[in-house]
Amino acid sequence: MATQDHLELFERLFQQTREGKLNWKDTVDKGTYVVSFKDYAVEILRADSQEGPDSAVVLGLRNAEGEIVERVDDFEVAQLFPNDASRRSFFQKSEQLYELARRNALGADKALNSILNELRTGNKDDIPF
Amino acid sequence: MPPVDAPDWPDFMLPIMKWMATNQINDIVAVVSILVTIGGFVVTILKLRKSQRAAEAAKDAAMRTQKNMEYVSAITDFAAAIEILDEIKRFHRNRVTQPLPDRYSALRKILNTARAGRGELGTGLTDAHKAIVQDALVNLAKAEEAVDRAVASNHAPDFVRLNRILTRDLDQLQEILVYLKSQAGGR
Repeated sequence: MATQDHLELFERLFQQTREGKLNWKDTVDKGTYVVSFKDYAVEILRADSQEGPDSAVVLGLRNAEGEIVERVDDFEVAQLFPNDASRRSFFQKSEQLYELARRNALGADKALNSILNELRTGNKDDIPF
Repeated sequence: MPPVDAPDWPDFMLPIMKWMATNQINDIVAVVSILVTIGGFVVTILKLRKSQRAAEAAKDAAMRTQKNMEYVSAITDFAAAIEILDEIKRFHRNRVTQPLPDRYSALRKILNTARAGRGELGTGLTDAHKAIVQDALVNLAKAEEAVDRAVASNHAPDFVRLNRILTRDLDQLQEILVYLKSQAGGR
């Protein structure tokens, strides 16, 4: 049963990941990414949902021992919204969160920016033949 | 002044008492007594302040020693954790699963102790350091789950991936160890 706290967790993770404030990391499980705080960690993954036919974006909370203490997926949280339009908007946001976390964990943006920077400076410094 | 020829003085004392009365010796003695009392009081206060400063210095020294002991404990814990993590990686490389649960469990205990600190002053770890330890704990829990799943299904776990992730944790724990050593050395 999802609560407003779960919704806030999705929202804050989305916002702070987009602002580059969170440091997601790749884990032992492929496609699962984790962001750690001083005593707890949140992991994000895609999994089959119990609430719908599609795959869901799942958040798992891990305690100081690294064990899962809670799991909630975006289908459960979407039940808190009153209509389809707001649910669809929330699904888009949770999909974006997963994608942002993946790119952050794998360093995709960092790699892209570094390559682009080198290409840009390389273009300036190259001696034309 | 009391009468010098008081009947209770012995006869031989009377001239002395008379001389003292004539020269106001009693007053002088009273003034000297007051001065000695004030001097004693000042000396006592000075000694009290000195011993208070000595007590504060001793307290500071004890605190520093305690803090250093806590740094030494944390350094020992992180060094032990790194050693066990290296051992786990060797087991992974050699595809040996039997001793892994014990080693995972030992490592988790050490990391939790290191993160919490033993004394009132803590280990001096920052929140970022604690998050690194939390990362390692999550990966250990996940590694244990992966090995358990693999053993139950008679399939080998992806040891290459496990070691890649644990190597990252190892490097970060090493950085914490270096930080703690620098902190302990700077004291």
